[in-house]
Amino acid sequence: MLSFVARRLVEAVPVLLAVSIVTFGLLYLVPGDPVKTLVGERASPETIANIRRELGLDLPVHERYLGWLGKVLKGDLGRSWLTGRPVAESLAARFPVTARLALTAFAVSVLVGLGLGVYSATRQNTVADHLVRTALLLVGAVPIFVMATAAMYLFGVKLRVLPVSGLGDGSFVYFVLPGTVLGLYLSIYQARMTRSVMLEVIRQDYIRTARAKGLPERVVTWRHAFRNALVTVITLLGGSLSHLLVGSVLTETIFNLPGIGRFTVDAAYARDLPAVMGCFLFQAVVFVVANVLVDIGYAAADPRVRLG
Amino acid sequence: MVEDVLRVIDLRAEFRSARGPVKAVDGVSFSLQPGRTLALVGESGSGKSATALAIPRLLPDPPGRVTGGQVLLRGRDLLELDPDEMPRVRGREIAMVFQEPASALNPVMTVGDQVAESVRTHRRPGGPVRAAVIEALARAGVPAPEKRLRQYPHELSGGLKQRVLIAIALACGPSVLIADEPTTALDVTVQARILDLLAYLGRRLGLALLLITHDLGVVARTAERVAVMYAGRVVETAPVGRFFRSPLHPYSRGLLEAARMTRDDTGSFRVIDGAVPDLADLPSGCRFHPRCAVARLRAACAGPPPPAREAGPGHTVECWYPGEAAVGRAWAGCARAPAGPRPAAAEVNSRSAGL
Ligand SMILES: Nc1ncnc2c1ncn2[C@@H]1O[C@H](COP(=O)(O)OP(=O)(O)O)[C@@H](O)[C@H]1O
Ligand code: SF4
Ligand SMILES: [Mg+2]
Repeated sequence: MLSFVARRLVEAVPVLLAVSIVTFGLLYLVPGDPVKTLVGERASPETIANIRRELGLDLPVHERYLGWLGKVLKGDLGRSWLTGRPVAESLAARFPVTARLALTAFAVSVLVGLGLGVYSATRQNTVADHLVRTALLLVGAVPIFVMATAAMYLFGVKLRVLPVSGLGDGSFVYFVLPGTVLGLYLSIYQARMTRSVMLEVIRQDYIRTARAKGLPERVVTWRHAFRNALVTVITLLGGSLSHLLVGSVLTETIFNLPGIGRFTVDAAYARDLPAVMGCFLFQAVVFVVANVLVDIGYAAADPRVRLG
Repeated sequence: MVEDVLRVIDLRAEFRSARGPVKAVDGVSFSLQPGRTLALVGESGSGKSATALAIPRLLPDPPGRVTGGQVLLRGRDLLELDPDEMPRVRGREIAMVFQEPASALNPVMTVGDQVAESVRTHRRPGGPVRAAVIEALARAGVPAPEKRLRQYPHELSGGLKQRVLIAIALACGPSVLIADEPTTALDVTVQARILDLLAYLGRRLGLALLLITHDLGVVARTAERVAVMYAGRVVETAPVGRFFRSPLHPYSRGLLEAARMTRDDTGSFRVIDGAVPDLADLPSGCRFHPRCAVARLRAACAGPPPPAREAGPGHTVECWYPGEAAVGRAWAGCARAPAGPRPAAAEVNSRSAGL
């Protein structure tokens, strides 16, 4: 198992290198001269030349890439053209917000999504199953900002049990509302997927063996069927988590949370190239790490994978 | 007379389908005694597995369900029990072994855990679980049982998986074992050993064994009684000796002839012409009459269906003309019988025999 983990980590290195090259390439893909964007169209040629030298833009491409990569590896993502602050610092400041929102939403989505998926599957085509599926369909049809506003009004204004929006002192209560709303939407997909995977698993011969042993239905469902369904569902969970970790723009905006999602969008609108590159790299690393974690989870859930 | 452990009386089960109910079990009756084996034979699609699953109420629902009859376990009707009470019957009183060992074990659980589950579920006082698991595996002929505890199913061969499933089935000392074609999916070399094991354990543990098979050689070797199933009904039951000496139902005779042919000829052999009828749309009269050689001469076969009749000690048959031969010696001959008209036979490849 340990060597499996090590192998997956080593395999991630070339992927990350490729990502770094693409990120570096962004410099050349962006329309217009970034230096002119930085200093304005009317700067004198000398100023521009000076800045080019300062930024290393006069060196050959591969030297510039290696220099840049070296800095990135040391955690230096450059300074934002917009604020002048180091990009890495901004990301580091915002990540805890996004991470807390992500984990709250993830927990809600897993509890609700997997729970409802299993509930629905074990009652296939009964009234309960139809009710659950219809409810999920209805929730999915409501735009998230409508749901969020309604939740803010109900819990924040009417009942006054939760803060309406903002980060406050950063404690958990500020994440309950946004996390639940976001998690609820995510759980729709997880419930659907879990239900269909469970229906597939329940038909397998080993479920019949489990029943023939005399196991109570509850044990058959959770210990036998659900554990096998998890092998497939884990992939979806990994995807959900990495999407959450790179920031949820809508939720962060509605609930006024300074997370990575908003930072990314702001950077993109402002053509703040170092910030955009930083966000891009950050996302890539999150996805690669999430993938490795999914593989490890997969191997933990399915002994057949560990051999390969 | 040995007492019956399990009596199945007029059992009926069907699968709902777009074409209407598929009557897979249509009035089946038989009984099982401790230490004895009843072989249930018949072409595939005749309802053997449906019968096996209906007894412990394991038919997949939907689309299957039991629609009538009784399953009396020591006089208590299992079909009347609350569904929550069935787990206490399964495994402890009635255990099962299925056809496909490859898919019958949970791929993400160790062998040890899967056997232990069975031991724990119906735990008798005394003895640690681990020892009981090892003993169960050893009894089922699993070599080096201690080493298997931590292995996963994909690390075992087909024959070994089936032994593990037998260990699971017998871990709690059931009185009835239903084995649905337990060797069909295995290598020929392993088949005989698994069957011998089942027969041996059946006798030693005093199990009432329902052995579903399509291999009449297996029947001759392991069973005391035979029930021949056709299109959802048991059309003939007999003690094994009588069955092989004087089968009475034209379908039984066809099966026996086909089996003899397989062994005599290489290559192709003759089987019963036609196929098991559509169980959602059964023929009128005797359900075998569209394929029966005798029926060609007798109008009665298309009339009311034949009732079961006593044809000797422990021998019943559902046929208007039991034991009769058709013209052209359709069922009486063997592979080397002189050439002659053979009205109800076809030349087919042995693989497509569907037995
Ligand atoms: N899960 C199922 N759904 C619908 N029909 C089924 C199902 N299982 C079996 N049947 C039908 O029931 C009939 C009897 O099948 P089965 O009991 O498996 O026969 P056997 O075991 O003798 O080969 C067949 O016509 C088959 O198509
Ligand atoms: S009743 Fe007639 S059709 Fe049916 S098996 Fe007997 S002879 Fe054949
Ligand atoms: Mg079958």
